[in-house]
Amino acid sequence: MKAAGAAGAADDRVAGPGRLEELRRGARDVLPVVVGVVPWGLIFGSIGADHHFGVLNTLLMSFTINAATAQVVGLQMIVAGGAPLVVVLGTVIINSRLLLYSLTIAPFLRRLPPPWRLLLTFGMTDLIFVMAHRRFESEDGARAKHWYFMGSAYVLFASWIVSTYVGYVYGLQLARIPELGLDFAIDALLIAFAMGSLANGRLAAVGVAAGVVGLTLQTLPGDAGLYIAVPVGAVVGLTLERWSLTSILARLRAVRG
Amino acid sequence: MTVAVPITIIAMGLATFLLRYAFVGVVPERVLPTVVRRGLAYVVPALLMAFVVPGLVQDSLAKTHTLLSPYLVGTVVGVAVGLVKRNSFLLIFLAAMAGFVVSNLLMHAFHLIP
Repeated sequence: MKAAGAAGAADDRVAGPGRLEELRRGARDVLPVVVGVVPWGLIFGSIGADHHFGVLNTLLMSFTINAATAQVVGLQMIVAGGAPLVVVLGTVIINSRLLLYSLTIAPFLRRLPPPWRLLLTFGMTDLIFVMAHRRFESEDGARAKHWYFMGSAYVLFASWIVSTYVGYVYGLQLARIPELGLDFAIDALLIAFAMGSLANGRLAAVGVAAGVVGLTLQTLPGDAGLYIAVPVGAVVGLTLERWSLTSILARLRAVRG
Repeated sequence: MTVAVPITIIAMGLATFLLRYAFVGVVPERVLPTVVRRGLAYVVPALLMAFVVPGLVQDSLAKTHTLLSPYLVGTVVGVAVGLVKRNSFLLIFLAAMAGFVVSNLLMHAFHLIP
């Protein structure tokens, strides 16, 4: 792990792009994600309006939770009269993959001051996690990469709040937007990130293993398939560290020789 | 709606935030075994593929009732461009979107999908 990329905020001016440049890059790079996320904000807002949930309560959900699926399910549970504890537990279960993100991004954020850690983790959604991790892992010597995280996370957060409000005000008239195929923007982004992450044979094997397991187990409830697929991929990666194809061939040659 | 609703929403938000913050500011790094820390290097590619593959199959079947859909075409185009230009993030994204949009128009024009 190259956690040095997130080193102290005080060192921001040491090397690489400056804070504003990183902020600008983050805000720019997240725009395709905004295209994919806005329709879901509109839908969530329109669901709130449809259930007469109140504009303030609907916006409060987007402000405090910042996670589409948990918000939709949580809103419906509240409207159906679910007990608060059950609603909160449901939210924890749906969002539990965030623990995995927290575990993975932690080495890059630990050296930042607490206010930075609080701000950045609050804005960490699925694609922001991937974007930020990609930036922290890049080896350009930049020291202000957390500003990239900030730029991408809060442009997306702002679009989530605005689209929730617009969806609430205009209601279900906008709910047909995903039928235009804008939802594929999220898939296209994931494909682009995935292809970038499969940088060598070992990582490709990790990806293939996780993809096959994820597909096989996709009917399991919640994100259970994901929780199994990711560790399987990691085990494949760790195994191939010891038993790479090159080392196996070398051993075979040694045995024959 | 009663006052209990905003309180429930705030509790949901706090619980979600704690999930995000757990390993960044609550659980010390040293409690993690070395093998887990080494395995973190593989989380992102595994996670992305575990998201992408089932998600695309599901989208394809749920929205077009067939695997040969704009979702598949967009994916194939994106992956093909990615194999040639692995780090051209924007190019892969645009190629996948172009594959999706063009095949969506053609398949609708020829009534291949509902």
